Amino acid sequence: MLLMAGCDGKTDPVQPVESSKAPAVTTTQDTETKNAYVFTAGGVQVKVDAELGSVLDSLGTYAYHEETSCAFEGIDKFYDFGSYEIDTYPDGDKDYVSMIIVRDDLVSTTEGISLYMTKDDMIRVYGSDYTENGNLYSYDGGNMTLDFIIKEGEIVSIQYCSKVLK
Amino acid sequence: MKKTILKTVEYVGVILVLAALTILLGRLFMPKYYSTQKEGSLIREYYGEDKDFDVVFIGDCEVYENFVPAVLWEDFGINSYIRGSAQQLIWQSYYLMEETLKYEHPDVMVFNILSLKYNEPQREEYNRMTLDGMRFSKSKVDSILASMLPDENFTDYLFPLLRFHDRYKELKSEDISLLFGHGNVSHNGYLMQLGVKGITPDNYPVGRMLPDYTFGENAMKYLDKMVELCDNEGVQLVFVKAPSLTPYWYDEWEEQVVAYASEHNIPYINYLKLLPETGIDFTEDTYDMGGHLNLYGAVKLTKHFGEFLRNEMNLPDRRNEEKLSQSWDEKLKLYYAEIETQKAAQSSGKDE
Repeated sequence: MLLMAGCDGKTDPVQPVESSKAPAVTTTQDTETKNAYVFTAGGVQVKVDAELGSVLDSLGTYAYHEETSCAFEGIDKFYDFGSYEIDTYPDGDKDYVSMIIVRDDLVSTTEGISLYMTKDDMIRVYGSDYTENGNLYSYDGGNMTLDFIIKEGEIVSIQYCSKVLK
Repeated sequence: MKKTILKTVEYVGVILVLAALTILLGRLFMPKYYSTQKEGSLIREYYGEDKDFDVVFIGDCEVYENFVPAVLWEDFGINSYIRGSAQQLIWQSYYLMEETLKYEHPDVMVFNILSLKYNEPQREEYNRMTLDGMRFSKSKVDSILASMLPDENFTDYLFPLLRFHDRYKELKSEDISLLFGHGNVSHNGYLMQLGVKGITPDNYPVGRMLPDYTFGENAMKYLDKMVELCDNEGVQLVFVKAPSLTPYWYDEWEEQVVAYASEHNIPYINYLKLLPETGIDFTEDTYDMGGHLNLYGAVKLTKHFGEFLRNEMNLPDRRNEEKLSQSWDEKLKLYYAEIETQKAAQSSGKDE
């Protein structure tokens, strides 16, 4: 497996969920990827660490570029759908989702959070059981994290990141 | 007395045989970096040179894939070498500079600033490609200490056999045939790629937002050390950013480099901003959709940089030096031969 890209910021070990901090919206763990958070675009579910494969055809048109690593074989692929981007890493002859990046407020997380909403909105939906590293707030979702970058109380970035990249 | 001497000779003999065996096995098990992962051979190749270079490039793939010393010689009479390696981190670049200055005193050292984005060691495989190729020296020791990941051991770098002994399962005939070395994979540090895999502007990558764009303290510490080293040695340092679309180069990073270069009076050229001037066209001058230039793009870039070296750095044309010219004649034969080899491989359908 070749992994070259990575989510930025380091997450601390995940703390146990305290009942008082339990998320207002509970998420159902995806049985295929063991991930708590799944992105949905146009009714299509996109899961971190799942094979992108046929899901790609259901998502519409995109800009595409790829990145080869220096010296090692394998290609990281980047699909830009305008409002969001899906990145993949290779494993064997298949490509798996490494990251989903929300780029504007025309799309939201499955739980209803979009860019330019507030930190309070984020906590209302996902709870306070996040790890904080500067302005990066990470929710542990099993094999992945759901990351928010917050500046001056406003959500400016939402990224679903595979843990195999960290 | 005679018995003691015999015993001593016996001990010394055993130690010498064991040492020879250790070195031989180390050579056998070390990756050869020849038919694949050629990048691992780059650092080592420098030691076979005459080391009278006017310009030495230091950095990651953005130097060894994008600048062509053969062009600097043919078009400008500038004798140059690239001490590049895959994902070369800034502290590795610093120690390579330090080591280079023990061998020679170039007029200009060119550092590609992409590696400022890394503040910590990243990956052992890449460390190996830079560090294992270095000859033993204080610079190498310091570079190892600065580069090791938490689960790595210093002794594994000094004695590669300790690290690579389990390669016995994957030894190939190449490991035996190249036991005592092999020919160069590069042309004065340039790793040639003739393939074409272009990218159109509507597909150019967009950088994702980062939590913090400030370069790390450790990275900046080594940049300071580079500046100080070059100042002390009277070597002109030049910063470049190669025209690579990936990894994405952020405006926030650019601002920091521009400010630093200005403060320290160091020339800085960001070739991402000079695409029209160089004539680089990413639909045809790259072999991997903008990550690196192919030979056609690298020649364009080098011609532009050669003008800068000649006009701004006042480097003389040395093509009238007989011995150096003869040496380059031989190098150019190999350079053009590889172009033909790669072209032939392309037309027969198998890329190099």
